[in-house]
Amino acid sequence: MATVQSAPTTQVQAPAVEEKRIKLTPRRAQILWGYFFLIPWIIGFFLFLLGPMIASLYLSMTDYNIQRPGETKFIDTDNYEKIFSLQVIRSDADEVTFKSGYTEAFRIASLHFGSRDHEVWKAIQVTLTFAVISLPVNLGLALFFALLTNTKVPGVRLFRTIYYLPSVIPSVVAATVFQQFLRGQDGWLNVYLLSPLGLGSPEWLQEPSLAVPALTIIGTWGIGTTMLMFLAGLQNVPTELYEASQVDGANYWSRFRNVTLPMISPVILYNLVIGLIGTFQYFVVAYVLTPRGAGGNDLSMYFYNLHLYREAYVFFDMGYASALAWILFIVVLIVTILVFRSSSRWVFYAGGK
Amino acid sequence: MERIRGFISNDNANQRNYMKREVYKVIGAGTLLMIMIGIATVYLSPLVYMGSTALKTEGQLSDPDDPIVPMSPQTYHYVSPEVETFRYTYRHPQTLDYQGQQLTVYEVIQQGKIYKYAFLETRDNVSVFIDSENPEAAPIELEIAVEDLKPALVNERLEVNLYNVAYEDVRGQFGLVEELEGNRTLWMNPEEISEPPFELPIATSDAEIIRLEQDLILYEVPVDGEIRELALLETGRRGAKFIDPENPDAEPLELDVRVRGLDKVWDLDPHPENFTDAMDAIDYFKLFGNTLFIALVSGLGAMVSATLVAYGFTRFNIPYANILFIILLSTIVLPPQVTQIPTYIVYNKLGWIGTFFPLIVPHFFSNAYNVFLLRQYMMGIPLDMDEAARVDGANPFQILWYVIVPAARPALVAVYLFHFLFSWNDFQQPLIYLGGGSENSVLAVGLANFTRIYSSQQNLMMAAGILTMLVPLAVFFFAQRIFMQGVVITGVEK
Amino acid sequence: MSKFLKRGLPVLVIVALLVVALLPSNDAKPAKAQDPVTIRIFVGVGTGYLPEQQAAQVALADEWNAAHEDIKIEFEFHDNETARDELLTQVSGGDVPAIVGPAGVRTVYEVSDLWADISAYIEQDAEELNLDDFDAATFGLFELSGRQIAMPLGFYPSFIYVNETIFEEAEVELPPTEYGAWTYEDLKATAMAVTQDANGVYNGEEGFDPAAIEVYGYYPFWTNFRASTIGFSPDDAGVQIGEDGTVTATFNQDAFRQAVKFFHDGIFVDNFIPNADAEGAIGEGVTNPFTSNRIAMGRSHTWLFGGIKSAMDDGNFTASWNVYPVPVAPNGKITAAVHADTFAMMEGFENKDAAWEVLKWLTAPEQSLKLCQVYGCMPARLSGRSDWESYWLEAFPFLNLDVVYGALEYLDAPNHEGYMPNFARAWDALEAFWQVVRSDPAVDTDAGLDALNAEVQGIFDEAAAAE
Repeated sequence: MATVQSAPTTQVQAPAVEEKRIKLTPRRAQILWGYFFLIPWIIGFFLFLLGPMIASLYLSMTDYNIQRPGETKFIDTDNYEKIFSLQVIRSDADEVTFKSGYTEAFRIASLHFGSRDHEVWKAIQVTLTFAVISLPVNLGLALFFALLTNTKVPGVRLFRTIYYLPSVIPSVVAATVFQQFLRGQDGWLNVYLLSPLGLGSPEWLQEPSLAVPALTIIGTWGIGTTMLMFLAGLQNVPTELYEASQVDGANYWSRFRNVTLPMISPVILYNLVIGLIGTFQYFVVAYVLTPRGAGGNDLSMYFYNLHLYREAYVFFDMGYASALAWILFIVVLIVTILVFRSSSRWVFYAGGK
Repeated sequence: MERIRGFISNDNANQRNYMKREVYKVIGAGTLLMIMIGIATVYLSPLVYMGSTALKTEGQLSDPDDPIVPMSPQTYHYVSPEVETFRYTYRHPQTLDYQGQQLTVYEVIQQGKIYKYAFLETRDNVSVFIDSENPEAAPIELEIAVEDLKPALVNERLEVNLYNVAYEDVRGQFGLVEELEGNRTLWMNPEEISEPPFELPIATSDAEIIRLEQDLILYEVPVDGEIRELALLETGRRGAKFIDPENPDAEPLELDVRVRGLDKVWDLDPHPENFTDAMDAIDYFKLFGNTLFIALVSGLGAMVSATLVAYGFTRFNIPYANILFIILLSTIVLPPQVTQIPTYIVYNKLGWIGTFFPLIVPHFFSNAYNVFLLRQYMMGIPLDMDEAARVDGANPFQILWYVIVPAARPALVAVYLFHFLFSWNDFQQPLIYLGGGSENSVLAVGLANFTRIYSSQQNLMMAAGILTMLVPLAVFFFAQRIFMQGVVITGVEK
Repeated sequence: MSKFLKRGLPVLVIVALLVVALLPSNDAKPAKAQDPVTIRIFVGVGTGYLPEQQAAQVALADEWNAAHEDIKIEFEFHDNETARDELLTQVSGGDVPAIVGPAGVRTVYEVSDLWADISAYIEQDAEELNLDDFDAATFGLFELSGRQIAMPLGFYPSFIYVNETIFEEAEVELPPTEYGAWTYEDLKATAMAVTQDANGVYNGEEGFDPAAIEVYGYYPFWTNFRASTIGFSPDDAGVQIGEDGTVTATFNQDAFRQAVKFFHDGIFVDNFIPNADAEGAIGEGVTNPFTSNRIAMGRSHTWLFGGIKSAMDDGNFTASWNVYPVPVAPNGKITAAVHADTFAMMEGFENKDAAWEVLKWLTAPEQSLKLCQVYGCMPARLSGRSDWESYWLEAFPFLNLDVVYGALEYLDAPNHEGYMPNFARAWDALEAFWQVVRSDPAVDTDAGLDALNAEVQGIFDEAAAAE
């Protein structure tokens, strides 16, 4: 690590000296200029974004029903209490009775947990499982593809286009394609790959235990955008750094760890945060692939956002859906802030910070 | 030269190493290529599926044995010794035999029911009817004029043999209904099944009977240890009858085979007309124009505004920048499902529903994805460059234009590209904000209209999908040149 | 500083201009006050959005608009998959369409609060409407606790569609053509006899492979719990509404038990009904699974006619087929589920008088017949029936009309899409159970139904408590 780290630091040294000179110019002008450039966003924020956000926050504390907007009542935090309502019953015998309005959400050993909305717990479980599996797979694979296509192999532009290609398939079409691909009886994956290898014909979209793997597989087709971000990041690594490390006799792996990774760490941060937000809002594929968008067998594809969507548009309970949304909002925001906090330790900006 | 010298002086260890490196290089590139081709195969498979589906007919798709390539089974045109028949329902006015009188039956609608009453007579402006289902009951008197009623019809299900008939100016394919006495015959026209049969003064033998002609599907049938291509005439539960196309007049071969277990004889049969059909169905060029306009204009807005905002965030050391940035990010963290309705209200208040404004204007005010991306890039641009410019007396705009923009060019291209692609495939927003009506729509919405409740014409859908993808793919293929070409940073060309 | 601002000003001005330039379109709207009332008809929650249907509806609108100055009709088409969300967004966003339709019974009850009560209008124009002309069976479909929320336009009785060619090849006798002549047991035996695997081996023969079935004896067309089970003639459609308004769920009565067991065993034990995965395979590439040549029998409604006709016209479907009566349930009764389509006025639309004029016109004999021909429904107006009949006989000269009209004697009342309190949640619970029945070979159907009934009762009670 130390051998190559020296190269970028020489880069940052210069601005560190200049830093003082920036302060020589009037600080106020500097700040005003900064805010001035933020104006487009600030206008847009107040014009298009803030209102709807506040509206949904307000709605989350009402029983707003899309069908009966006239009867909306302010119900305080009841929607939030519904999400977190949990009743624990230890049961060694068979009979378990919950308070009225509570149904069993999950069970840990002999502890039965009941909730007023038992589906939300399933949704949280599915979403977290998927995030833990799919996000690293996608980021790793995207980086791998980016490294592959950052070489000088003949036809690399074509390969880049091909890897990127599935991301431009319109989502409606893509869902249909993957529905056909993953079908048990005559899907291509089973017919042309798994059963010739003697791996049987699993019903990917029916079998609950295969739900998250199936969605992860589908997800890997759509990593084109992430790959491109990495590629653009790789383009920014000055070649002299590689040359310097080559002189030091570093092998590929150590070059990758000590030069490439730090140099593309801003892009990693970007992809991580955007991927995080996207994964927690995962919706379209699960909605299209399961009958009625209801999350499939055993709710194995029942994502948090699917639950939210159904509460809002299938059951018309927009108030409750807004509460669900704000809980998600807070959780994702906290995770994002934590990621940003940690980023000062692993993200390296040539422009200082 | 050096290389040759290396060959000559084999004992030179350095040269051997050089050779080794060269070999490794070639092997390395080869392996790399193989890996890339492997992945490419997997990544192309959806497109292969789309392509092959787009070139098939519904019939080809629904065949459970259909190969990947669009193929149709070969057929053999067979003129059978059997007669072609026609099954139909003949509807004619119902009559009721009432005390020796033939009464016409009418449909009388009363209180949500149709009654079939036979008309008997009119007495002082009152029509007298007999209930055809219960003629014994007393006649019914109603104040309805018979002229206002529809006659009730009887449905008779018939099957007739078809003949080619040519008698004076009566020519065509007709069904023989009845042979009457004295060389007269009663015919029906299959094109007009509701018309009463007509009589011709010809005998049945004067007309030419029509033989049943069929296109029989060819199968690869194992007969006595060899595979023969035979045309399937008739399938039975345990066996099947085949015609040998080389000897069609022979008795059909009765073989003890299960037809579903046999392979068909396939012929390449692509249907590129699906593409033109799909284009017609979704008014392709109109939607294409709309989509292109929205994607290009909003992309410009997205790029310009994101550049300004990211510049503001990264280069000016403003107070609370981090908090502001988290607020910016938070706007994409809230699930859009719950802001959809309030946002709709905002656009409705602005009078923008049904126009392109909601799809274009907000992008001129930047969004978090783009600003974040550009922020990450701009923070990677060393500060000494703008410092140098500042020393030369450049104002912040000039610094942005002459220093930041050139350095962040790949990222700017990326933003434009991604926005273009996002906008091109965006479905939810145009769906909600453009309202119904196809001429004002965009490709993604027009395309989704193929997915239907009880059906989906997948061949057309895939064809339309491919047509939709062409532009983004082409844009990507060519844009990557700008995007991937050496970027000037710190004055060193890579 | 001021120098900087001077240079920055143009950008500020451009941004400001942009905002201002785009805002005036807001003020443009109120200016249209003296313009005619536009009756926007939202199409897509039911049928009506297919290209040929769109054309027919637009033609109707043109016809009206040419004759009327004060009221204009505008059809707005939405894709069925997304129409509901769009409608709800519009309604909540204050952009309420005047009329929604064609909408089925389920849609009407699912969002029953959105509709205007039109009983006063009907009473006022009873003579003009000629209420006698509406089939007696259809009016009650849209009545909800004294409110008439829609006018019947057309309805879709159901029967068993039979691919006769498959029967011929399997050398199995065709089902009887008289109502009451066969039972669900007979249907099962017949369906099993024609079920065939990819090697051509029939169900019951040695070597039959249930994992590779190519021809299924029976296909549950786009099934849902209530539609599939209603054929077993339960005493009510699972919902009993007492005199005092209390609602009792009866989804665990014998008829439902028999029905659920029939379908579950049909998939996993007797192997003549496709499971969800196989349904996908059958549906590949066909507008209508019946035309895949992989289904021997299936119960569906008149709306299949259109799809079969186009498949026949294109030469993709050459088999001989016909409609046959639905079987007799184990309790001796016959039920042929019916669907209906309608146009309904929205409660939130201001100018209801104008909307009513349009609604009345759409359900008039001539217009309703035109609409029914493109939707595939049988006109609710009796006077249109014989024209409807000729239209389909032209397309299918062999069609057994006795079966089609015979079904009218056995329509389900109360309807299987009829009212339930808390409709969407109750419906969803039923569907979730139905999904389990069709995907889990090991499920105990009786215990499951008991649990389901308790759950649905809970959902009903929740609605009652909220009142």
